[in-house]
Amino acid sequence: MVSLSIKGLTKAYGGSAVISGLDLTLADGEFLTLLGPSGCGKTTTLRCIAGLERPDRGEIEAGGDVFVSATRHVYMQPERRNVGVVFQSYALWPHMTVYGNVAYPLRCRRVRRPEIMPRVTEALQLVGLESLMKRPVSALSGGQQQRVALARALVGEPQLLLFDEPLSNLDAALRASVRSEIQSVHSRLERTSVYVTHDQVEALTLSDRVAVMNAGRIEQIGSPREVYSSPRSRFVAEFLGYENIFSGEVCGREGDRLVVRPSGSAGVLLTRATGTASGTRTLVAVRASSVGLSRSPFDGPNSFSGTVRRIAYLGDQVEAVLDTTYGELCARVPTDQVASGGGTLFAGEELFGRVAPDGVVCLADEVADTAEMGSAGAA
Amino acid sequence: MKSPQYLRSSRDALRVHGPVLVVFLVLFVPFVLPVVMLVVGALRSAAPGLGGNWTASGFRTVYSNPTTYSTLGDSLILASSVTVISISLGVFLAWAVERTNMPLRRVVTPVMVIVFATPSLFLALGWEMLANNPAGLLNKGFVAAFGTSSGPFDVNTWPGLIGVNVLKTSAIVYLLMIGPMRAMDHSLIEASRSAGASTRRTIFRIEIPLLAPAISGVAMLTFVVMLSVLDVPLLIGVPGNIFVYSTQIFNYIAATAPPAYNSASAMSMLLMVVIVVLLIIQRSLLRKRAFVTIAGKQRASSRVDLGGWRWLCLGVAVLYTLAALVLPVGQILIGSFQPVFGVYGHWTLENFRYVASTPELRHAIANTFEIGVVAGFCAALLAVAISYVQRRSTSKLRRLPEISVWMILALPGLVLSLAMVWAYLSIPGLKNLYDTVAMLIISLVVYVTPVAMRASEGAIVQISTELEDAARVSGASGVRTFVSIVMRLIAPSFVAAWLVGGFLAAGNLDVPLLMSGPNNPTLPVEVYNLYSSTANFAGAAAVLVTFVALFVCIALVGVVVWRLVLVRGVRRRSAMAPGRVVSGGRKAESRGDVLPTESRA
Repeated sequence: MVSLSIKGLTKAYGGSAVISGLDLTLADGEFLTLLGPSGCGKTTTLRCIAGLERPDRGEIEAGGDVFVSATRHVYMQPERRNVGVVFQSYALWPHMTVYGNVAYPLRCRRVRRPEIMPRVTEALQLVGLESLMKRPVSALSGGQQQRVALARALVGEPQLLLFDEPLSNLDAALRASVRSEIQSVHSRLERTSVYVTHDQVEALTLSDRVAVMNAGRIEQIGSPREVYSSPRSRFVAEFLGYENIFSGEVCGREGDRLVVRPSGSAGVLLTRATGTASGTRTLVAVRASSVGLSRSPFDGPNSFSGTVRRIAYLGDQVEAVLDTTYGELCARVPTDQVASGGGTLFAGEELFGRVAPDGVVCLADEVADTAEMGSAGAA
Repeated sequence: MKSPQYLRSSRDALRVHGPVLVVFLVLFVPFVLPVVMLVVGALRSAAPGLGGNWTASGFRTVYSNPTTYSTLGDSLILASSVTVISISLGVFLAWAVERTNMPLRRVVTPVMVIVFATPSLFLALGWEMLANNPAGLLNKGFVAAFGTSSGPFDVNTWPGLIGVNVLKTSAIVYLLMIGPMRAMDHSLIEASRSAGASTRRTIFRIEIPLLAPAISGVAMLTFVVMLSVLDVPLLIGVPGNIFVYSTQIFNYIAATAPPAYNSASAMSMLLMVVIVVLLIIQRSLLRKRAFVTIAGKQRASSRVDLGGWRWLCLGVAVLYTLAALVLPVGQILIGSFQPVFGVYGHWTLENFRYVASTPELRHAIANTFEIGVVAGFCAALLAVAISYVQRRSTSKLRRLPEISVWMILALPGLVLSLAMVWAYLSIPGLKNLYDTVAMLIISLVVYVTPVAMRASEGAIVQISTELEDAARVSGASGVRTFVSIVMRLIAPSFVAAWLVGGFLAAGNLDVPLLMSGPNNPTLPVEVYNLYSSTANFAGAAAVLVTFVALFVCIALVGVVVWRLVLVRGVRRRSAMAPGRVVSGGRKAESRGDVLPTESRA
């Protein structure tokens, strides 16, 4: 088990950069997720680590090995890197049995014959499929196939485990079960792992750290809790599902908190503690779920009144878009909470609301002086 | 973006470009060189291998002769009428089989495969005998039925020439169209129906436009093939004094003393130019089209209920089967047991005794078998290697091998054979090959490789790159990945390409016509000689019957191999995984391919 370090990784296809100068370091045994929309370069990064793509510039090192280094003219062939990869489409060889698939990496690495059987069995036991060893892979379900692929990636005791959107071909129920399989395998073996996905639930549940990627760069990296609750940029906030983003003017401080006036609004918003951030303009993000609604007025900061524009019934929750003193605001409240206030919500209704200051996130990378902000758009 | 610095070391360059260059060099001598030599040959005064000097007299002779242009016109008429009719018939039958409830529809594909595998020579001779006046079965039957003094049928006419070609090409059209027809996304059709369109409207407004790219591709192929076809015009047209461009080229060699090789070569140039222009037009037309017919999910399709019309469809299919298979085969079978063609009610084995006792014919049987097996195998090997390199290589040169093979498509069999003669007789080292079976095999490999590529490349495209990536990261080298993963997965398509290539090579007349002599006889050439120089119909029929018996043997071997290797492989692959993962998701590029791949052909 080893740490992984990537420096200045750059890759372009036909003139357009897919990865531009990416730096990343993983500690021994760490599970890191590359999270981002399609086309952000996350899969290409993974393939560069595996050796399936050659980067144009940059270096990748794992443990003591230099995988690739443009300046030192080093390129290690994929078969010599000793990594395990779980592919999106499973990539099981259809002409082999489950056993044949899992044993293949051992055969390639010249493991002695008598050792192969117990190691294959052990790997299949890890994913709970040792009873299906003799089956052709085509006779397995999607979930089972992906488990076999996981076993195949693990069997060679790789120094790195790489996952390329392994759950995206599975349906919702299987996705959860294979996800917990990956989780339990990782907690037992603690191999240094890089996991690529566009699904924030996978990223948040599996990882020690999450790196959100955008246009070939890492936009933000941190623990799942950090990234989820304190996005630093508009892109990360939107990707992680912040429904409301306001651009506004900083008009004061209250202790650690900023007082921000959303553009064109009469009211002000008190943000969560931001430390020492300073500037005259900023973006703030608010999750729909941190907005509270009621038929009677709220006290304290960040309370507002507004008219319901439209509502969507989500089952146990109701989503409402309101015209408020802060501008258009999306709120999501428990269905029964509104109902207990007397009947259901309806469009056109006048309501009161409040956003807890801890739910108003000041996007740290978007704080700037007026001159620099220029064209930061309103939500 | 410049190529990264560390790729500039020579070892890396070799790794990237090496496979492409190897494949290209293997192709160069047999594929590219003859074309160059043909151009050179058109400018020489003497026959191949005899020296001579530079002259443009060949070009002058050909292009000042009005026959050149009138036969070109006739070839265009032949090609367009055959294309229109066989596209209509082939597409109609493919549609009836795939999309309707026509009775007996399962029988149609096997019939088509048999017609496809039967050499045109067979069909032409069968019809030559059937519609012979007065000895043919058709005319005899007509006279017996209506009491007239003579029958109305004569095959040595324009309708006869077009008809016999249509019988053959309809099978090719059918086999090329059945794949796209099957792959058509049925939800598109269902969407049209639920939008309120009738069945008929759906067919004309949705199904046919969806298939238009495939149909136009097949039509262009048919047109090009018919523009350059030699065997049927030689057997059907020439006896009726109908000459087309290809028979005219052949005349410069066969009916001119001494053979005017330079004129024949010069005349070939125009044909090649016409075909290349057509192929370029087609490519640029197709580039603009999006292909939407191939969709992911295959469901049991809802077939069109034809009602009473289905008997009419069946009637068309039955008539076709009679004309393309039953009648010519029956006539040749009967003819081979007749002492003299046209004498019914008197049976003899004399013709077969003649075949068995003529060493040249016995040789021809052995040679043809060898050609089928070896040329088919080599063509399949080349086809697989080219498709694979083309798909996987990262080299900028990767299209080079493919392009040089597709050039062959623009090379009619006769022209190719002419080019081969120039190449082999003019170049000192290659001269030893002249007059050998090896030379025939090399030429036929060149000729059938594009078709073998058709039969195999679809399957190669379908193998997801992830399957190879998975092997590489599992510790397998590039070579090991190819052997243990790729070769195993493409084995079924390889066998299919081998069979298709073998049948085509063994039954071909155009290519060996100029190269096959007493030292390296082949069956098609022997049959042609028996027929054209001695009018020995019965003997020719007996040779053909022997020929077919031989093919049936090959086919039986093929079926056994098919059962053992292919069916198992296909079952494994098709059963593999929900969501069709074989056709590798992210990296699979949508290719602007025109012609569908029909590996069962």
